[in-house]
Amino acid sequence: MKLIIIILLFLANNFSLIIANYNQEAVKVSFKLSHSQIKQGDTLLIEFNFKIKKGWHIYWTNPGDAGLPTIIEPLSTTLGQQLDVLMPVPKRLTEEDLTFYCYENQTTMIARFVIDTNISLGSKTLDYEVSWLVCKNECFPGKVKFNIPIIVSETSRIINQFNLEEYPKYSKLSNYNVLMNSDKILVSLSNIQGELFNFYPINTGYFLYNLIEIKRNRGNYELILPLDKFREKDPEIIEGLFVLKNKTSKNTTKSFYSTIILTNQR
Amino acid sequence: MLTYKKFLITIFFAMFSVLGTNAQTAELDKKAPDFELKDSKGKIHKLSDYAGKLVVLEWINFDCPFVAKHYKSGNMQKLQKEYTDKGVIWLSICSSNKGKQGYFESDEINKRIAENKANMTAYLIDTDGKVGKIYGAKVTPHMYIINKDGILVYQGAIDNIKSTDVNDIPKATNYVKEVLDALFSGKPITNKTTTPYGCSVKY
Repeated sequence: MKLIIIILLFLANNFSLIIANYNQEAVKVSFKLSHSQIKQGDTLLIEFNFKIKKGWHIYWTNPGDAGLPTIIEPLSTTLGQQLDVLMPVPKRLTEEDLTFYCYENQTTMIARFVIDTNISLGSKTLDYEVSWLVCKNECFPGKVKFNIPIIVSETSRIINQFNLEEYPKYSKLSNYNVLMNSDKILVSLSNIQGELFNFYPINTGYFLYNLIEIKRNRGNYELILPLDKFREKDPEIIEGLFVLKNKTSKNTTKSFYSTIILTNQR
Repeated sequence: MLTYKKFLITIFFAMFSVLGTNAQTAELDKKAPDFELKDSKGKIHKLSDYAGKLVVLEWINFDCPFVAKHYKSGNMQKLQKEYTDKGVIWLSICSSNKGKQGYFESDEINKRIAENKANMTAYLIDTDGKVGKIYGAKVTPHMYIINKDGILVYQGAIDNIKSTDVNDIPKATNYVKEVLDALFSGKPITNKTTTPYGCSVKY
């Protein structure tokens, strides 16, 4: 019995079962679990590691002008609910006038899954699917399913500590003003702790990503978001990822998601 | 004095010279920019040749998985046939630069058209990407619909499910079908612009 548990634990740590086989050559996915056993109501962290062939890339939640987002999702809700997927700050790639938000070489994403409080104790299988589009000069869709063995127990046991600080969190912007006309949205930001050097919008279909600019203005910042003339409608809120350089140490960055409310700003 | 006069005349004509394609960019509810491109059989097509007709522009790259989704399933060919049978002009345009994915020589294009049993009116070659950039084509497939008055009335995605999965086609709302049906029946167009999805155009 102990041997079976040991084997199960080993498999739970490093297990990737490819059931659906698209083009898997450019991307290899594996996972690690935070817990060897987990209590009802606790949050299981599943760290998915993507090894991406050199020169190729997969996409962020907003892929940009083309591509498809990388999606990590449970295939059923019997064991609980996924809270969210933490994604690291992407890289911005440009090609002619097109902009993409993506990941190269290697990246990790963490799915946070809350175990149902009513689930019975014992061994379970959590089915997950990871899908992506990997591109270089051409693109291939990829998909892999994981049958993740978990043990629901009266106590939780952590076996892997993941550094969640590496992943941007939500932070409320305290001081901003917005001006909006038919061509662009200007967001004036003050009290930013650090040097704002990148902004990645989560909203799709509103902006000309290749023309997004950040200007410094006497210690404050101006975020210029040119509007796509073909947008379906005007945005009412802007959600995005702000990336800053640390004022004291330029080599470190800090990033956070935030929301800018636009209604009544014309 | 004669030299100066010739100089002025040259400048005068230079100011009004047409450079092969209209320099304006495409805008919804405005006249679609005219263009002139050669097709895979060597014939020249101008958008203005089709005045008085409904025209669909389909940005294409046969090797893009999003385009392949619609061709391998027969979805695009079915759409093309249904509407070209009704008199719609369907122009598939490839703006892939030489050496980039989607670029083919004419023989290969015609072979691909035959293999796919495609029903476009013509496959136009836009290797330098000029027409793609005038229209703001970002992805393949990127769809544009021009009404009989030459007005651009739709731009965007072929349908509302962003995926490469052929199984999503029957579940999706096909925007091209929706717009063309509205134009034929004289009803207002519900979705005039949508966010296109696909592979980037390989300029």
